[in-house]
Amino acid sequence: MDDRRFDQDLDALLTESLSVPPEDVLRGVTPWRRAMNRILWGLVLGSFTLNFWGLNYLLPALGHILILLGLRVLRRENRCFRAWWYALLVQTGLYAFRIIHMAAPGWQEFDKTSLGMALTGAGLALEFLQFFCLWLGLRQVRRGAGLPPGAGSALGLLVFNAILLALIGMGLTQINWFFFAAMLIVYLCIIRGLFRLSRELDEAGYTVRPAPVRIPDLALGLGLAGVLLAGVAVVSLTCSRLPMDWQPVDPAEHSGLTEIEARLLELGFPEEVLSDLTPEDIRDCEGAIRVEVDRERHSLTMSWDVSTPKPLTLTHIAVELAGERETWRIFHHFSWETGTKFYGSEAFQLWTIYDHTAEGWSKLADPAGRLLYDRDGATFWSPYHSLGVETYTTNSMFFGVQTSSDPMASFSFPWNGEHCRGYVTYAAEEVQDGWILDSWINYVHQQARSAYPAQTAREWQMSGAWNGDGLPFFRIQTAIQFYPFEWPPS
Amino acid sequence: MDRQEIIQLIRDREPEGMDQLLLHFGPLMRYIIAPILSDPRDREECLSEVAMRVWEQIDRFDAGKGSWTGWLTVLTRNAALNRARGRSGNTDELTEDLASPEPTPEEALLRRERQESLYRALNGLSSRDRALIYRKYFYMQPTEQIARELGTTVRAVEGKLYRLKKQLRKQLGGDGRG
Repeated sequence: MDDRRFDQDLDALLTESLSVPPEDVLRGVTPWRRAMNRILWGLVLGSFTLNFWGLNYLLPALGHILILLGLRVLRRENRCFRAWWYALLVQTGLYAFRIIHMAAPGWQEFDKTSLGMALTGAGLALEFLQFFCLWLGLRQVRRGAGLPPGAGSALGLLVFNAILLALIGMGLTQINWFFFAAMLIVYLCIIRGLFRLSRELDEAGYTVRPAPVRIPDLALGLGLAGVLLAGVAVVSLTCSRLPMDWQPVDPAEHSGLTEIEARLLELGFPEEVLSDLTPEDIRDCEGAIRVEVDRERHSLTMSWDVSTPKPLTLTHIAVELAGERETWRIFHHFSWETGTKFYGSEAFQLWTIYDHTAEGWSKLADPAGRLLYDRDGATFWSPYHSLGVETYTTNSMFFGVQTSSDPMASFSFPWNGEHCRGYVTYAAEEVQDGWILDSWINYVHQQARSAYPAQTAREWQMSGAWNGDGLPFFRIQTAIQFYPFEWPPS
Repeated sequence: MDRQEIIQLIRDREPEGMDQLLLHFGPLMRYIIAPILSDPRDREECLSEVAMRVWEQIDRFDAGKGSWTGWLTVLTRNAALNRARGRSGNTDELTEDLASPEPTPEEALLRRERQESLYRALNGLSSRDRALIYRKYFYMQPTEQIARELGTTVRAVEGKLYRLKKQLRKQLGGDGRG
């Protein structure tokens, strides 16, 4: 029998022989159920927050794609579904932007800007619009089939989310277990009601006329996931560094400062640190009468093994200046060995002597400083990406919730920079005699690519995180500490 | 209203049963009729005919033998096919119990063997693939409709049906070469 004849016979056999369809076929052959189930599962997945294995990002993304796949089939069914479809397209754009943007450091800062807040507000409004359209759309489907309208569970979902938002807006972020359980039960009842409603609508669902699609579900789903993954990968590879203003150092910038420099060198100021200072910072040391230096080399692990490489040298310098009251200018200088890899951002936090021991010292000058690196024999410098006092809140299992304000700097070194280094300096004067001079620097180095969502070294430090395995961030905590009145040493 | 109540109303010869039947199951019946009959007037007449058959043959429905949806689906589909065949001059009639006209004993035996082979082959398919075959050959849905309802393209449906037929042909004794 030739192929064509066999095909014709098979067609005829299928047409004539197929009798009562099996139950799974009877249930599955409807224009409604598949699309609606996708939408409902999408809503369920989008409302779950499981903070492990990245599920807090994966489940909502999967949920969003499911809603998109379900709604594109129903988009022409009625005006509400159509409005929801257009809102969903906008929401998809916002969602994709957020997912990709979160791969770039500083996204949390963006959220605090007016544009960031406007986008968050728009996302929230679209979220509510979708619940509203779901409710009205389901009512229209029922009405279209001649059934009495009614989609109470969809309205329940809208009200539930409105109440939840109102509670968050009222500042209710900590809830007890009883309240949580009650909310969970209500939510599960609403979801159960929605699935039941969908089943009830199976009858009316036969009146639905699905819209044609140009791209198969699998291709669209994988395409969207691919775009998100590619976007995240590109942004995390290209935007992991903070923008810096690198410029060549003027070889003549220290001209006219020879006398001050000579005096500082005579007092023991390290020459390699002195050459990194700005002319202003050198001038601020005019009249120095004493220099204390403390230098340490640090490894990037918690290991006590003496053979562990120590690529970071931290030099702490205290310069006493002549004056009526005891005045000190403190320098914390950090210098990296050439070959150190800089993956994204660096940061440090200062515990200044005027904050740390406020009874003994008061602020005379705010922290300032600069960054430098060498390449091909030339030296480049840049101001910090940010340097200023940051107020932040940490929640430690040992110390509880604490709010602190400390000077904090955030910056990035170039990938191929040689001998990357920098310093910070500030001045303080004595308030009361007899207090220790105790100035700390908590330097945070990024030694691996940041996990998703991206975090800067500064954000990591402000989160109060522990060093752990040192990935992706490792903190080096060190200080210069001495009693100024024990001088000259006996 | 619950489907059991609707069935009971029809069994009790209550006219409200017919109203409820058309209200709740009219969309399903229209959905089945639409791909088989293109003329809107034919469709409405067919719907009335099916409703009448349900009214007349409700005692033949046995929930122990199959689901209400299955019985109603076969009844509707066969009524629509009969009407379509009547339009094209073929007077062989399908009933809710039979899938095709009554054959001779030899033909019936041969057909039964082929049907058994076909059902074995269909049972070997996944639920989704089986549903696709039923959409095409039982519900007689055009490829465009199948594609819309499955959220895919016409080309993808045609390709899938081609592969499924090739698979069935192989299992039914064809060589499976395209």
